[in-house]
Amino acid sequence: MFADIGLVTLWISLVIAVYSLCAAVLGRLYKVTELITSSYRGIYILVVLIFVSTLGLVGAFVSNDFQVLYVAAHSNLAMPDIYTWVAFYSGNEGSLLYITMILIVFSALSIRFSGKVTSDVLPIVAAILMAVLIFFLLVIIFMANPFEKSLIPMIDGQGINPLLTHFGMFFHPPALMAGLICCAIPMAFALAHLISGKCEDEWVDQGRIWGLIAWGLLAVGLLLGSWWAYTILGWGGFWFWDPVENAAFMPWIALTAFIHSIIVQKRRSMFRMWNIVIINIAFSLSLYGMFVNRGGPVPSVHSFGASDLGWVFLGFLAVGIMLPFAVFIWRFKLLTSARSLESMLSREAAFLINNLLLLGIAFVTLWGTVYPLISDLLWDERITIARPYYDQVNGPIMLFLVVIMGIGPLIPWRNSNWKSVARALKLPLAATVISFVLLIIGGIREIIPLIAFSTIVFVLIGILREWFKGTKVISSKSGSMFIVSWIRLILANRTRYGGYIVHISVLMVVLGVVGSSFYDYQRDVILMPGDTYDIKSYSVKYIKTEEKLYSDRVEFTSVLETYKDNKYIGELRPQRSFYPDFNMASTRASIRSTPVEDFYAVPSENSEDGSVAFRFMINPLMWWMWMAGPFVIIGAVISLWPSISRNKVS
Amino acid sequence: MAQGPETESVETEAQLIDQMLMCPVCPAESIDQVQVEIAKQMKTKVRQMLLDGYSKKEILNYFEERYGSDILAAPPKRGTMIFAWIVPVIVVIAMLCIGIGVILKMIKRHPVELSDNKNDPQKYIRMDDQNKIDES
Repeated sequence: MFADIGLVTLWISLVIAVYSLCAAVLGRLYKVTELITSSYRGIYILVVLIFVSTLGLVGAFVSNDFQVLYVAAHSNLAMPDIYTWVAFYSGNEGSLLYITMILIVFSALSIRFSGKVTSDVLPIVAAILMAVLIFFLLVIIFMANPFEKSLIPMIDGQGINPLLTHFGMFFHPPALMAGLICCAIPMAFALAHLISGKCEDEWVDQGRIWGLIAWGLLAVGLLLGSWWAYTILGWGGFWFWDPVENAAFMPWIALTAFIHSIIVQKRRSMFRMWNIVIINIAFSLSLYGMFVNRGGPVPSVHSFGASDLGWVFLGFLAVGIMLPFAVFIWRFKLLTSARSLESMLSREAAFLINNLLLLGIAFVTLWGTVYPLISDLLWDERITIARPYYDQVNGPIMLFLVVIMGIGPLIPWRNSNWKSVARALKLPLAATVISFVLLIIGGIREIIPLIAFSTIVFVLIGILREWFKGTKVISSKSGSMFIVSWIRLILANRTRYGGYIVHISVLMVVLGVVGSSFYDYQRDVILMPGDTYDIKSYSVKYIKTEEKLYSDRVEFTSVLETYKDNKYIGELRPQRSFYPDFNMASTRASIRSTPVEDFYAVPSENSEDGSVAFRFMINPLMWWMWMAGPFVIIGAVISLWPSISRNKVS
Repeated sequence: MAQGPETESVETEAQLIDQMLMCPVCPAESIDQVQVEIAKQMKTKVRQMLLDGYSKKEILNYFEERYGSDILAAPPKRGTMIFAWIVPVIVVIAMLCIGIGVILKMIKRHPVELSDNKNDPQKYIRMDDQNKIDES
């Protein structure tokens, strides 16, 4: 029953979406306001319809309707109800429905709260978004229908992929998929304005808001995915430049460039052409990101598996790249900036360098992903490109980018001279040199950590110095307390200071990455019950393994008494489960995490005689990486705040 | 179960090599990351060769000869495989050069007198007003 409702509402949605598209186009062409209004109403109705369809799929899961093929493939009677939400988007068909739902919600919001976008442009935005929506609806209904039923009634399903039964999975795929499809919104605003001949700064506000939302969603999704990999994939790493990881990483990088360069356009009406190019790159990469795991030729932990769908998506990707590009060429002459760059020593120039470095990182990532295919095609040479490659090529660029992150905000707009820049750099540089020396005294000898940690100090001192000075001024002017003045300072320029908070979160990620990459310590060892194992300042005593039998798996939980510096610090209970139906094992690491280091234990094998193969790791500074998550969100929200409250209904 | 200093450094070196060898049967994972039988055999071989005195380079060559270049986690820097490394470096440097070149051209077209922003005590107070302009 639920599945039937789900499918019927999809069909109705398709009809209404087509109507909204036509009404928007015709209403705009013949300037009929009623048609345009009805088009928007259609969009709002679609939100309800597609949401009902989504509920239909969820209902099918909850009611264990295994006759629905998708439900049977991704759940079973043993699956706890709470995983229904995850199961819904864990497969190809369901995830497409999820993407469609997010798309219509974002589309409706962007139409309803469109700020200063004029009534001759907004219908085109609606039309573009409806075109994208119709594509997804057509694909779902005709090629990837989650409501398809089997002819034979089924008693039980296959079950959910064991790797997905983790807290992070409630948010990682939805955040990523939402972030990817969200790229369509700023792109639609950009394209609609270009088509209307409005090639100045009219789209900047909406572009910035939705670009920032897409960016934030992808950032959270990427961090969560890393956290999931760290705790559940069982080898202590958190990012391994998997082609599908890269496919989500690249649009995020392009969006990072965009949210910076759009500030220049907002402030100084410059970079007009450049921003169109960047948002198109981001959108193209997001399409690539959405489609690479649906029929893509690259092997990956993420692959949904090859299918005809791959060709359809390739076609859409081609259209999605070529159409905006064609419009861009058409309006090329109109895209001139109001002002020109005046000095190499300016904030604008720093933003441009930032953009170039980010695009460089995106290119390296893309090259690393596709070069194995190129090499195979051109020279019949099979090679692999994995983490060591990216460490050597992307690593230095990223480090340089962090340095720019520290210098850029200290350089004034328009132009400056070395004297004033030097004045601004004095304190951060002094702190950097001091920290560099302290690090060497402290025993750090490797060059990359030395540079990275010193750079972190450099950027941090730069930010704190500005906060301190600004707060002092406000505090002396208004006489209020320091902390109140600081909050007022943040709220007075949310874009900038929200950005600083995100920069701080970047520093935290750098800490985690460098700490764990250069100073990790790992040992694989087989222990019998009663054995003790010493690893650096830690000591573990393997007590026993508890075996629990469920209907779909066997769960082995090992109990380890853990000691640090001979003091008992608690029990670690790493877990390993084996799923016979999937012939797959999944592990859950047990981690004792402090800001200094993680002590990490994960079992890799449970033997008949009670012995267990463990991997123990000491990962310094990992804690900081996960702490960055909340800071990213806070920073992005602060950065978005005034724009949201200032948006009037169109 | 303490480990002697010799096995310590061998193990550390071995792990570095593990991370540079891909598992032949798994999708895009190094032998450090997986537990399948062939990965375990390869890891044992790596440690054995280290104890026998082989260098990291020799060990990587050994596996490359037997399994092909795609057993390595990053392509060796020789032959046509060098393109994997050279192209992105050239592209990024070219992008930066072109970018800086465009900036310089723009500046030449519109030369501006650079005034010395002397110590400006009003800088942060003016920032408030500047912010008001920003927000509008």
